[in-house]
Amino acid sequence: MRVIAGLETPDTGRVFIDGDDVTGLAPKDRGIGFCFQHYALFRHMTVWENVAFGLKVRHRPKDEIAKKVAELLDLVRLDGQAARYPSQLSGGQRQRMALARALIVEPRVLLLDEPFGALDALVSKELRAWLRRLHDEVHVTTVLVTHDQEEAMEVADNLAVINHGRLEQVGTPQQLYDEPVNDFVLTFVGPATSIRGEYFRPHNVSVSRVPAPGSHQASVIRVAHLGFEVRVELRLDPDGAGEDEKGLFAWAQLDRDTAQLLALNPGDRVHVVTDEGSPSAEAPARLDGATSEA
Amino acid sequence: MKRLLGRYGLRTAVLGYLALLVVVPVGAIAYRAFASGFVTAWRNLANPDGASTSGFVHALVLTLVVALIAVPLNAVFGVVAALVLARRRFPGAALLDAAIDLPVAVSPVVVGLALVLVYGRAGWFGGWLARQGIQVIFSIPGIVMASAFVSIPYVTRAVLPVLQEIGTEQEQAAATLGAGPWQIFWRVTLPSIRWGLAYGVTLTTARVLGEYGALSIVAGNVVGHTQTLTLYVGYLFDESDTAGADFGAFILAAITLAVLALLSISKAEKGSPPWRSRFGRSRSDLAVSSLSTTSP
Repeated sequence: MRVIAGLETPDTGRVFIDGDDVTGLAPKDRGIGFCFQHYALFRHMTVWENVAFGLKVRHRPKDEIAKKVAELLDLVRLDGQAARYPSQLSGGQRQRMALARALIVEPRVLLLDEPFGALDALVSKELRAWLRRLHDEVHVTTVLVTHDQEEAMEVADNLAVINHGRLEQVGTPQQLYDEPVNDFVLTFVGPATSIRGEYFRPHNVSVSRVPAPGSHQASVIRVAHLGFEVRVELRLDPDGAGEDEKGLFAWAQLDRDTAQLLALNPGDRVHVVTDEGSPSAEAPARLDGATSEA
Repeated sequence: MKRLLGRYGLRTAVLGYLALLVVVPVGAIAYRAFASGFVTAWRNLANPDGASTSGFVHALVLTLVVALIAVPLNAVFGVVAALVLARRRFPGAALLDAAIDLPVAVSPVVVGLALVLVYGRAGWFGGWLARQGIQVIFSIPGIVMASAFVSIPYVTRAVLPVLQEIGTEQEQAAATLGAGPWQIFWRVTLPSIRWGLAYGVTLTTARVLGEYGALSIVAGNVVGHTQTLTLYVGYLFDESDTAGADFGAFILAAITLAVLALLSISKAEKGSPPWRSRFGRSRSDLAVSSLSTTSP
């Protein structure tokens, strides 16, 4: 992200925007808008002055600045807060103001660095939906970095999963979910559980009272009712292949009606079946998805 | 009850300390200066031994001229030094950091002697300068140098913590929005550090106005020629002209207080001053509170 913006220089590789090689250009000449994770608002300027900054340093005529600032403040719904200072705004308002400030220079690419990271869950969710609608209105290519998979799935048309600086897979949210190229993508995008060393989506795991071909014996550990979804935590019986204790734990996602029919309780003996058509891959010897980025 | 006592006890202790050390003596000066009326006071000062008014007026003008040269010099140097220390990693940074504090660490008399050693007529550069017709010691250049020397650290020490606290994100944001280096400095960096800078400039001014030790060696203390107001007050005191000394001291204190007041007023007018900020501690509060500590 910072390399695209020109705030850092890449060790190798080049940066292209709209087909133009911008690798050697200063940030100001790249035609980018950057929203920093903590917004980096100018604290000594009012909302109006913050948004006007990009035009002021370009010495645009006063009436043009006034007109465009008014437009953008209206767009991000801050028209009533123009005379306030950043310290007087709520987190969501600051985020929207940072967006307006970046958009006023009509960037070719808008860069959003964890735009919702500093907001509480509710505000974040609301802003996400708003950002998606805004994006359809202003039509500017936007790169958004996030550690929140759900956020990425919700906002983006295209996702790139990066793990330890390596690009794992690029595709639409649906492609990544349904056709992950490897276990890392599978476990990182959306929920996953491992059964006998293979990963599955928990909704592709079903639980039954009677054995079926290819089913695994297991005990119910806990049943969590999460509204429509019911999460069943399981411990598979060891198969004698010497797998470690941690590998025996799995979970299944059932809908409420199925769960009601089964009437599961902790300690119950069940048979676990995995859906054939579900995406799966060999579990890697080592799984470390904790420090990854999407 | 106990907490109440603790709270007021602390306040009393702080205020009492300030009163005994600062408020009462300064108040006494003001009282003594005007004890026999303003006109008498003026006459005492301007005409200490029935000679002329020029001694006081000259000292006042010299003091202001010196301050007008030394303070801007140190303001520019202080900001540049703070920027270098906050934004650049280079070998010798720690050395620069320590060197900036040197002027307040050594006695002003040492500063004066050192300047004479280098720029005096028999000094390293002094002889050469004298041949070019420039006299440093016992002259205005020497007075300015000594004043600037002793007041070097204040701006840097006030600005540096503010720079470190605000970080570089705002400057980077400005860069992505199309601002060049100068625009970034004038529009983002300088406004962000303005309270720290104002505080540093005030301290620098106060220090320049009040310098005695270094100047008593460098200036030569010639009445009506190389005597600043502080030196003049000291001179009057030595001459047992206490009335004149009192009034001179009062004028000196008044100028310094005026600078402080000016700062407060400019703070109150521009933007949201630190003590009016409704949301959290502002930057310059941090600057002020961290000034007393050495660099982090």
